[in-house]
Amino acid sequence: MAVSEFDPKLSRAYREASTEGPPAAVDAAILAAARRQAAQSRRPARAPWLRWMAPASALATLVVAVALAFLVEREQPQTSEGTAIRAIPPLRPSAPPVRSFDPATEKAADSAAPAAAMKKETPAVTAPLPAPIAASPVPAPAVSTPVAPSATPAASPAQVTAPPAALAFPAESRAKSAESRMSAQKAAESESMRQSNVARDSAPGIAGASSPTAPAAAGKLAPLRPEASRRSPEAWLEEISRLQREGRGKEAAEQLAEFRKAYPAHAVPENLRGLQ
Amino acid sequence: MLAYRSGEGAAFEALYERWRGPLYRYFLRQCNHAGQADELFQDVFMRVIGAAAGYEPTAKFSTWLFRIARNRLVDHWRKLGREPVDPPAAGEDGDEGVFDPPAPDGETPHSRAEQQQLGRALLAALNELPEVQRDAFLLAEEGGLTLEEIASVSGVGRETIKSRLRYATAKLRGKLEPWR
Repeated sequence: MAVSEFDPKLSRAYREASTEGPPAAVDAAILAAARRQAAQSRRPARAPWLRWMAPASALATLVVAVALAFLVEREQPQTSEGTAIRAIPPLRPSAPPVRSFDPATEKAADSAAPAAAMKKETPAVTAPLPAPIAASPVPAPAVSTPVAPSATPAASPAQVTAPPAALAFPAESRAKSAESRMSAQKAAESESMRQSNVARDSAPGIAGASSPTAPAAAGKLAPLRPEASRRSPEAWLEEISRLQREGRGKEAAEQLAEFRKAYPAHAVPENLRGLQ
Repeated sequence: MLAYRSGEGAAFEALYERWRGPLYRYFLRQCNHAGQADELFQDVFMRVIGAAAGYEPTAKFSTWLFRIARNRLVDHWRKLGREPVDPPAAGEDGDEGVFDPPAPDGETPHSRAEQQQLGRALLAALNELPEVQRDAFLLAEEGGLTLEEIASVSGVGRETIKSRLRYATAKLRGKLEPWR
């Protein structure tokens, strides 16, 4: 008779006969080692300093970000101003702040007062403007002459209402002044220095250039500007030569000085170089 | 074991209480020497404790435990210059009769004495088995492993284990024939 690999009765007999166990000393040694191991397992696996890793990382990121922001702000102030310009939507002529300040600008236009007087009346407009821009003489003739509007191509309706808006919103004022400066610098390449004396009279400045009130004031203050703005360097030199020929040397010398300020790189004819 | 890995000392104590006897007897029957059994037994449980941190339940704990134990035993045998081999199967057709010991009939002194004699005869017969057959028998009886688990622990095929167990059972029955 073939037998199976397992015999329940044999197994039972074996279990009843086999009851030995390890000595108590071995039991104690093994259990003690197990307890030591369990105590080590209960300890935090992470080192204590690792608990501060996440907060420290966040703090370091914040510090770097703030430092970077300060660095960029300090090294590129013009860029920051440009960003402000882009962030501000263009003003519309019907914007309430513009209308609310119209009387002030009309008052400034009606009075043919000098620039100093206008500055007293509207300090908020002229104060934040940079000095070179405020002294720029170009916009006044460009706006006041019938043929000049092309000289200030950026003169949009928004710019026309810029001064009142500038009173209401200093940030927008800076933005508008920056836009005006961009257009003014283009036009000023040829005429800024020549019109310095006229510019002093029309010092409401760049704001006046883009203001609807500026043409009236500029027309009274600088009647010669339209002629000057239309005059080419050659025509100007020809006029200086004519003044010299007519014996009006002092006037010719003054005109030549003005010419040299306006066109420092332009060649002066031999016959005029003696004028001082 | 997973609970012990996470630091619960009581979980190991439960495991130890469950397996201390079977594992110790496995070594005791294989070595037939209490001192060597103590050493091997303690060494295996120290390995279990050391491996607890990286323990992954890929098999039954008993299979994992007796795999460690058998590997340790093979190392011990090699150290002693013993190489357990399968004995020749000639003359062992497995037909050694049916072992049918008398069921215990109460707690009479006579029956207890008879059971003790039977037990001693069984252990003596087990000690005379070839090592690989005894190993398979002990893994089945003490470890409670199946044929597949014994084959996995021993590194041989299932049919080989089945054959070893059959021969071991037949020999034990033959030795215990007087007790029928």
